Amino acid sequence: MFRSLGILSLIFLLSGESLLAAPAKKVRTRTQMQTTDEGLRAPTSSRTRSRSSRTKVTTKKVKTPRVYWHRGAGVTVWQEAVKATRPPESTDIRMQFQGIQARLSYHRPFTRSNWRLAYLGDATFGLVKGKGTAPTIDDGLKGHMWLQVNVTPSLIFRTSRISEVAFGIPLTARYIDWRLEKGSNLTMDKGFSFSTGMTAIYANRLSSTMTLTFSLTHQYLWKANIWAFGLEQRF
Amino acid sequence: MPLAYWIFSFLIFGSTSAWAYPQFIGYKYASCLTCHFNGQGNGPLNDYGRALWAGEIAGRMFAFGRSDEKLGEASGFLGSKQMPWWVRPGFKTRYLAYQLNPPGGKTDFIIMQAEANAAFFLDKDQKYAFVTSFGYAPVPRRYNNKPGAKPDTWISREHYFRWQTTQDLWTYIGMTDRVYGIRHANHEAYSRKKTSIAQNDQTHGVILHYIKPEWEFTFHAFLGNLLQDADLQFKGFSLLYEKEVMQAWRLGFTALTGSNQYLKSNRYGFVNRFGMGFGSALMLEAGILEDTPKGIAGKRGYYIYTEAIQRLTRGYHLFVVAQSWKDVLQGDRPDEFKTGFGFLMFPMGRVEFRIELESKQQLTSTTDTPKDSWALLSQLHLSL
Repeated sequence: MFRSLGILSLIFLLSGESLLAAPAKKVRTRTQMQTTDEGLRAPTSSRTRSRSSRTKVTTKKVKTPRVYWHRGAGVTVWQEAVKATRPPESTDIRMQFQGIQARLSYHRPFTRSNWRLAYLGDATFGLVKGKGTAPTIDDGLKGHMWLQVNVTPSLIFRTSRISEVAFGIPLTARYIDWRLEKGSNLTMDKGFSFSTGMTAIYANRLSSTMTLTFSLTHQYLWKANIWAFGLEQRF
Repeated sequence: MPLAYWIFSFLIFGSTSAWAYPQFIGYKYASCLTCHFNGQGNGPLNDYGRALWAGEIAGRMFAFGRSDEKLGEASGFLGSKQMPWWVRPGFKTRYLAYQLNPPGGKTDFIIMQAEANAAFFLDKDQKYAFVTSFGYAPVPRRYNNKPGAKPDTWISREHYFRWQTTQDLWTYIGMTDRVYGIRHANHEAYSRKKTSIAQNDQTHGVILHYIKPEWEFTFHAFLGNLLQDADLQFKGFSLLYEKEVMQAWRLGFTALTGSNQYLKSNRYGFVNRFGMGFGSALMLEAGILEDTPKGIAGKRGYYIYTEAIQRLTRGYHLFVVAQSWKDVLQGDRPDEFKTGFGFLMFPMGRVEFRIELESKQQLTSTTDTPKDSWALLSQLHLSL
């Protein structure tokens, strides 16, 4: 019996309001108890209410917003192979991408659940550099700007009052502004490219509105593993 | 073999500590002296630490319906059987498996430690204690291809006399780890390896550890490892101060200075341990490294270590680590980063298993892009 009560209590606690889901975002029905008797009567349970012929029950639905937004910023870094071609040779150059990321995300909790649906929208820009190692393609590339946007539908699970884990599928488009020297006869791939993959996010709540995030994304088409750290604010 | 190891590791039993877990500030245990004979952490657990480990922190695998109190009572060296008041023995072993650039990379297995330890008390209040350990330590790999004698593989990592001098002051005389920074379990972290506070950096000296409910101050004067050659013995002093800003939040600073005949070193750092919720914590250590080899211009670098640990359920924790290091604060020197995540698991009172996926990157100001590396690491701790 105690174990059942413990499990029920745990379910109640996990599904109850938390800092992350606060303020109230669920559709609730408030039941107001009124009596026709003179004087005061304490609120009674539904069982008692049904027995009392002098208790009048009114119900008023209170609908509260269920969705909310986060905005944030962060940094990201990863390595990726980009094909370089200088006819007739072609080789992969290991390039390093570094960038700054801005995020706007839309969050929709499920009712009475630790799960919520989120759509993360990121705009990231930065610089890419690398150096070829092939005999005919040993160029050093540096300071080439890139811009990337992605949308990541995610499922977020609240592991505790102050932390969450999330899993998502990023859909990403990227443009790299290759500014190569005239006459170099070098062409770089992935000037404009798309990719998708999987992302895992760990979020740690620092305060009632601020969250520290840490993510690892594997982009299948780019064959890249991307680290990102950020700070988000709920609004 | 690798797959069998991973499976076997999940099934095996063992372990009652040997490591310090400063992140247990998340359980509202801010001071290491609560659970360890060594007030700075690591080393054998005292009776309270064993009971707490078994009854509160570790999972209940194979509890067979026993209450937490019963689990705590059975956490002793001989289980529920009471040991004589004057001795507390223990055994521990640590086993590491790591694979570089998984999947498909080479997997190495190392017995990192296998030792016996004991605490002997001169009084029932345990004001006077002698704590020691002796056991196996593998030869560091850098010696594998070097000619000449190799370091001993059977060593004592700590042996000291502990004296509760006053109600708030504890004195340690003997061989211990140097006092500096946050003493967490990862001796390969930049905050330990680059500061020379790694697993084989013990020293002989005197520690004065002053503890108040809201702050702790430790001063360590050390003479170097007297078992080493005299010219290598690193002499100096260090200190660590932590102040409780609020419950389960400690901020502080740490410093170390010392030298031998070849090198003079200084370290200065800031430490932060923040407990959140129940069993979760955020740690941060950042500092400056100054090394001046004899006759060569000195260099100054930095290090940062951050770790967030999250209790998923009793005995199981998810952690995320981010580290950074630079040997010299110059624009053309690379910044190294290590990022990783993993699980720290105590499925039952005497078992500890840790698995981590770690990535290492370098950021340079030139067009060189050293290849990122990955490592899959797991450690298994068994002890009595």
